Amino acid sequence: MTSPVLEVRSLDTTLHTPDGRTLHVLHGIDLSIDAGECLGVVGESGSGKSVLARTVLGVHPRATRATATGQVLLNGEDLLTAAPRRRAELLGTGVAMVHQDPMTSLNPVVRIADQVTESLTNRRRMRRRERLRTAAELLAAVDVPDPARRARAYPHELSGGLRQRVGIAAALAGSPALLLADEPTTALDVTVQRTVLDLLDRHRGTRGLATLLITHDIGLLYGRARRIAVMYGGRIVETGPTEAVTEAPAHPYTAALLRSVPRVTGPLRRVLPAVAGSPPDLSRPAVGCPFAPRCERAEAVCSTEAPPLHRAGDGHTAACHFPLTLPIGPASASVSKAQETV
Amino acid sequence: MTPAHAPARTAAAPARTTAPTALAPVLRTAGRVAGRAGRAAAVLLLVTVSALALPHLMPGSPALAALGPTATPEQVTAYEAKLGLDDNVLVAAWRWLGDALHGDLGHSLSTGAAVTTELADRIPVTLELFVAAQLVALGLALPVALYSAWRPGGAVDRIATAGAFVWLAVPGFVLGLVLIWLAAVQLRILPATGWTPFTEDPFENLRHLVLPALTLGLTEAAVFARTLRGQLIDTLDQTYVAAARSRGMGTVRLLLRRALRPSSLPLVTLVGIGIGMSLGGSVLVESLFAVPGVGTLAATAIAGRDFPVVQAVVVVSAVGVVAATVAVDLLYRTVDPRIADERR
Repeated sequence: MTSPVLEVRSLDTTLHTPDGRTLHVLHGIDLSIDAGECLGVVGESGSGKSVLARTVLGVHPRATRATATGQVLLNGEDLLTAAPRRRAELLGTGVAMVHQDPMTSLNPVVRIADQVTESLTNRRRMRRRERLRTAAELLAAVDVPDPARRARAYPHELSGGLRQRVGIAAALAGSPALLLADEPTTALDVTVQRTVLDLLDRHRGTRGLATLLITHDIGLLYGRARRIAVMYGGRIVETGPTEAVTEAPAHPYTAALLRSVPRVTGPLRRVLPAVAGSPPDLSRPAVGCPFAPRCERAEAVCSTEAPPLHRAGDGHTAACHFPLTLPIGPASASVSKAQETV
Repeated sequence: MTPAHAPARTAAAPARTTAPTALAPVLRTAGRVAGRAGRAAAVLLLVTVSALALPHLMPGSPALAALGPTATPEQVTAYEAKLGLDDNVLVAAWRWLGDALHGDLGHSLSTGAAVTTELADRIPVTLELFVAAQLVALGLALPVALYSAWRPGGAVDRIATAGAFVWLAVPGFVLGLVLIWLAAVQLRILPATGWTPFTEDPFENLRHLVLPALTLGLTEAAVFARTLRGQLIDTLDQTYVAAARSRGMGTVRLLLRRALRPSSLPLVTLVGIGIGMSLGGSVLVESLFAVPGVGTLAATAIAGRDFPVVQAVVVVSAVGVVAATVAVDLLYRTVDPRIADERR
């Protein structure tokens, strides 16, 4: 078996916000992504999925200071302990990010060509003519019509869908091994969403790009992500092959998420069940299962003891005291988390 | 509004009705420039009329004030005719404008010299001083603002912030006096006052330029640095800056190539206003250092009730302000391409 492009081991991230709060955002995250594979990370707002991407990238909002422990291995190289210079080198060329909102993630006063080619021009000077030509090629690769003209344009002259293609072109420019896509279609029209996701799939296939696709919409991952990791309260509460997780969820939270997905085949005017309650307060230390206060199956033990890892199937695990599926193999509690990387 | 505005509308019209062709942006720009020119002309007309109304608005007769209490009525009438005070203000303004367009701004009452010659001598001096002051201000403000914004709350930022407030509280002429005391009296390295034209002796010219330029520039530097720092901090919090960082862009490039431009609109405005204002001359600083610029000319003319000179200075300053405003407006469009597409 080939070694994964990205391997995250027992990652804990703590954020120090400008207003002086300390948030323990990520708890013991384990995951791995092979070349050409897409891992879907799903969870609601505040579940820590964006912080996960930012920690892997090592770029946080400027006012926020982050400390991370554990390991983030990119092709075996630990990014958390790498020298700053080396990390900067890998940005864009080793790992790249597609941002959520293409309206705010492009500089309004810089031409498209100059932004798309940033990963390249940061390392090597490029003449204007060369930048325009390279940008046009990169834009053509993400199906931007009339790429030579768009390369000269400013972001405000482009539609939202086109801008997100520009964002993808900019991410792909440095030929990264790993692509972090943080809700890449949330800000887009539904009709545009599909084409953008298809585009990401295509490049994943042709370039063997490992992709971490973050979304709050679990339905978007069908047929795209081979595996899913469900995040809640800064933890991966369930992970496994997409079919297994969506057809037979073991964690009550995953089940609740799936119930909230609208279905074309269901009865009309059905009220979609929302997941009751609100996500946990990250500034308080977490005891027991983070989902316990909102869980309909919760019992006393859930709020006092950390849930054991339950093996629901081949490569399918859930951290829950009272999972919805029957366990397979040896007793779940004996499997240590470290061996059970996603 | 004014007849001058009408051609602007007709010029802009085809740009709006035709399909986007290669010519459309050119027509749009032309229409915009024409519109600006129309508004500028209206402003200048208003300023001219007001300037020419000045002697009329003075209490008592300016002729009496000039000739003294012993003047005979005949002398007063003759003097008023010479000033053009016997006419209606609008007639006077019309005549003044007509003469101005022929390059005649009248003659100084005190020296008898042509006002145009006087201005031609002094405008370059004031402009040179202004440019030097801006270089001082920007040269100081840019690095301080960039560094402060990159590390807000850091040592440089805290010192700069405290310094800027003290600086802003000190009036320019006090700063000038301190500089004179330090450089001219104590260290004896620079002349305290006076002027040597650049064409006569470039080195002496620069030596005379240093102190007044520092006095004007240092005060402005504080304003520039505060403004730019605030804007930069906002810009650096934008997602697109994080996006550029995530593509591996280094700090220096990020600040200079990505953050500075979207942060510089207020600074462009400040410099633009400064250009216009400086033509009227920084009266205090020019007087303090005895720089023969427009400011000292205005000060002497006002004190001596030399109306033709005062009027000319007022109108020339207005021309400067209007020209600077138009220039700033056009510069906005280059700095931020969104503005060009938003308006019209």
